[in-house]
Amino acid sequence: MSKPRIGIYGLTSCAGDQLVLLNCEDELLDVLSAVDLRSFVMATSQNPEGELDVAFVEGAVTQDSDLELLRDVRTRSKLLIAIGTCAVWGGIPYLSGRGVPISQHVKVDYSLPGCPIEKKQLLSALSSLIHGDLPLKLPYPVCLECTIRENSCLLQAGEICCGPLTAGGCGARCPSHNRPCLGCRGPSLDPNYQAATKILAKHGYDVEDVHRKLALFSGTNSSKEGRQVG
Amino acid sequence: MKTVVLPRENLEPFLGRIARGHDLIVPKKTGNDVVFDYYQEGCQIALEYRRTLLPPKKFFLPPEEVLFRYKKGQGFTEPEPEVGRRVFFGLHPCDIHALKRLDYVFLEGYVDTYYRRRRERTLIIGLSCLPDDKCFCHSMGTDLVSDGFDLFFTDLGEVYLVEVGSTSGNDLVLTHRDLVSEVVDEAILKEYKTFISTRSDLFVQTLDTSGLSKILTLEWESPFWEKVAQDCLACGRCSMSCPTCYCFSIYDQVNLDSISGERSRSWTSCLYKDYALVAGGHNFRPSRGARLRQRLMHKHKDFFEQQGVSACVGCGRCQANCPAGIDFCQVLTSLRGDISESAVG
Ligand code: SF4
Ligand code: SF4
Ligand code: SF4
Repeated sequence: MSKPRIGIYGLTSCAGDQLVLLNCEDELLDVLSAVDLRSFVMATSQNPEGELDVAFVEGAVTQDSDLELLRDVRTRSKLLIAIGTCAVWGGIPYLSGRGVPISQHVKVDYSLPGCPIEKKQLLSALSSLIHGDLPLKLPYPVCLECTIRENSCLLQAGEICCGPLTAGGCGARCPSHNRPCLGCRGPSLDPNYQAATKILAKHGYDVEDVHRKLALFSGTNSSKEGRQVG
Repeated sequence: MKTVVLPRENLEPFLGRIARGHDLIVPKKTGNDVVFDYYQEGCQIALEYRRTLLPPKKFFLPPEEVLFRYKKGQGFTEPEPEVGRRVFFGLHPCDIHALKRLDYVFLEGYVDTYYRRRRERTLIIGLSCLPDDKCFCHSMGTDLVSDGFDLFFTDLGEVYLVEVGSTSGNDLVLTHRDLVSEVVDEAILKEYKTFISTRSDLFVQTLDTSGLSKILTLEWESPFWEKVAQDCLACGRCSMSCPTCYCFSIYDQVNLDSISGERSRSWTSCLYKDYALVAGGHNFRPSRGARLRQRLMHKHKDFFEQQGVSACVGCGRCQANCPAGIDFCQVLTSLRGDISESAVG
């Protein structure tokens, strides 16, 4: 089996997701020996580019140069993987009104959300891709891991916790530190914005405030569903 | 059944000694909560707790576990099984009944060896409790236990009345016979009777289970389910905290070397959208209403039809922990209401 040709690219973003890969110190050599790295501008100046098997793209599309790069990568790559909430949902750049997720412009084969992405999921995804499989999807919201950690529920206690609306996989990091989930991993598979809004309205929150909070990271999805409910 | 008496002040020494020879699990105070956890010297044991968030199942079916690891050319190996005897102290009657329900699932017919190993190495010591406004075990017939434990402690204030439920339980009592008394006198008997009747007067929540499985069958198509599910966040907190929700998903993860990897399983919930998704993209329960219905159908109908008892033991965890405040007893009661209306009208 020949090594998969891989490229890693950043559009408008903080480069935090690419950094997660660079921070995989113990595994980085294994990763590099298992792939044929064709492009990773953040890490090296030697980038032969060319045809790719898998392209990882971070960041939202906010400007012409993003779109140009994205289209070029898409035509050269068999699979395109969106990494990070900005690439997957528009994330923070979406709030400026100019940033859109890459799926608005090109076909995305797999999404790995997170702000930043989780190291464990990145390595699992890479391992699956190297083996020739699409990575597993995590179908559950933050509440699963939160409950398994036996945290008492912040939403029940009347805080704006985005856990039930947010894709799990972070180990419920914030609620485990008694901080409500901000939703940085973007929408879960089955977010019920109406139900969440109803609960928070009962707790006395202003519906507009709730929508603003819920929309912080959920980009296009929030505009479709979240803001509609009021 | 053999019954002995343990003076209250002897409980700590009794548990302390058990902890020397066993891995002891206790209801432990952590901040405002009580969780089942391994005993450590000096830890605070909660003797009068209402309910833990996670039920005892986490010690028999852990939230996440590796089933085996494989490597090309070398077959597969299971993780080293945990060894040593465990004593699990402090299960309320509902949780003991729940373990019996799990035994049916994991030990009858197709035996789950991972579950069995953990179950076999664990002695169960039950503990009496008083209900709060969420408990409805008395409606489910799970408010008392006559088997499924090695010892059962009923808190009578000054003393614990200790029922011996197995030879292993008897061994525990005999080993520490200096701490217990074999004399159950009139006064203690009276205390026990008072406790039983006081306790049964405390129940607030009830569930009418008569004909419930049939009503559920008849109401399968009802628009009711979608209506209730409008409030459901599909967060899965009800399933995780339920002592008899045992669903898990199984998945393989290959390693970076492409020739080795592992197969694992972890808890999941029928409330999750992908739960009934199959190859080819078909979803048998595409709507949230169908998924919420499934949770109640399985508890009160499917399991009931197979076992003659509901899978729900009335512990109240699902409704105590639901962020949306969904009260499943209330849901089932309104379902019954709909039926009588349509029958009358
Ligand atoms: S605290 Fe937040 S993430 Fe945790 S269970 Fe409650 S709503 Fe879900
Ligand atoms: S369904 Fe609810 S009340 Fe019944 S056993 Fe499960 S958590 Fe307890
Ligand atoms: S805990 Fe409540 S909101 Fe969450 S899945 Fe269960 S019923 Fe729905």
